[in-house]
Amino acid sequence: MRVVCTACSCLCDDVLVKDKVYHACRKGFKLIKGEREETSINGEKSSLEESIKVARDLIDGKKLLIFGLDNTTCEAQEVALKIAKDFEATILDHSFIYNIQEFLKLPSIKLEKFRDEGYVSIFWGSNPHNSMPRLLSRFIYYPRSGKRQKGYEEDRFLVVADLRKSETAKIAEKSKSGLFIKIDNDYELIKSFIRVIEGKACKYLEVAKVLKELEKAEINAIFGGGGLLRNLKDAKLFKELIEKTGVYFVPTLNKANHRGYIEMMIKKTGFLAYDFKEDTNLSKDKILNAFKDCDVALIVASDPLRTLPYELSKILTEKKLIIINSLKSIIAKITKSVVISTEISPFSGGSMIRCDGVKVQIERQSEKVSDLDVLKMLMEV
Amino acid sequence: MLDFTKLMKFEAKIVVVDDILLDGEVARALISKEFAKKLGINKSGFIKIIRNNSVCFEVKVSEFADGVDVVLPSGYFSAKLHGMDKVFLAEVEKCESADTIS
Repeated sequence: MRVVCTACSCLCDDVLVKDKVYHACRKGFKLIKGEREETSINGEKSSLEESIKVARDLIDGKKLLIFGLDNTTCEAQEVALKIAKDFEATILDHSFIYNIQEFLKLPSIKLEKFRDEGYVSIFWGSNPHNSMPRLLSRFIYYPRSGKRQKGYEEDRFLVVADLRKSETAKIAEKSKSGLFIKIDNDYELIKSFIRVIEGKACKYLEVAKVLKELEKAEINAIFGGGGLLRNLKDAKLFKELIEKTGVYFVPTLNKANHRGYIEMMIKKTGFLAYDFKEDTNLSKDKILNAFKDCDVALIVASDPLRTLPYELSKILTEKKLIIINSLKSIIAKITKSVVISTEISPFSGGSMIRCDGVKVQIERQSEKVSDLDVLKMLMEV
Repeated sequence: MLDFTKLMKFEAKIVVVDDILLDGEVARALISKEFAKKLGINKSGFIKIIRNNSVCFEVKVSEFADGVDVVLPSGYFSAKLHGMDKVFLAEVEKCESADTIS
């Protein structure tokens, strides 16, 4: 059967699952063939109905925190938001680590259009070799498509700006049609671009070559990863760079439906984290308190011990937890919690938003309960 | 013979990144060839990073850590060290084993 892989926000729709898994990258393979979570209560196997009942009893009348959601479908995210409203809970995902809201307002481009017409791709604080392994081969650097039939030999130019020489940086450095800029400070690189455009001297001399390459085509893009999004306090200077160079911006968020969560939250609440009890936005400085104050945490499709700073993840391990997840997670292993196993999203049906903002439909291929089903059951029981 | 590298501490520039795949129950990291040589590690070994809490990592000498001394995958172990800063300086010394999740 043909499935949409949800291992990263590339959302590849050409993955075949038969006796073997075809076309998937190693992240996709790990998702599809990875060891599944088992439904349990405090480490002992239980039925779905029993776990849902215990989970609901835990939630009722308690201060609830809903966390995760970046790897689940848009439909499940909406039900989670409804639960947050109904139970006056706090809802948040990983977005507070990044400064992403401002970046999503920048002019963006669909990956298919970039595949057909794009020339310069600048990966800034991003290492797609590991975070989105098929991005370069499907859309950015290697494809021969549309106006770019000569592929990476002549029709593409890859720039990697990073503070370490990542695998992608090595590709750029070795290639005749590529360039690696080793940076210490993101602001300095932005300033270098702006200064060269204004005809002034700058810190990073490679910028002049990049600007020369940008002039060769109309469609060029910056693919900003966690390194860029986390380090820039605001997008003002970066916006100026985008305006002056005329390049597009695509966030390379590696969590499958991170963009879906952000778009839903901005549309429905105006903020990325929200406390429905206080009916207010949860700013960065209040997040630690939100973790401390909650009685129960509902974790959906996430492993906070892998992704959150220790100050926060440590607090979670001391709380009562309800974990809705498909693959084995560290948090389920080391805590006594209610774990509800669900089908992985490539088989569970629904929709997700790709990193460039395109909505991708996922066909339901399995009868096993999905994150959406479990969240609905939690509401209705 | 006494291995003097076991007694040496060095300051290292450490970067925590989201996009390297080193999942597992053992703390793992990448280390630059130059820094490994300083510590006396050939192909792979163990290091202890000391900052707030001390955390031990199993390291592979790898050229992927070019540009910085140590690259840590973001996750349970590295989170104990970095807080919200993903680039930091810390003391590093050679040790005998890596931390595991238990």
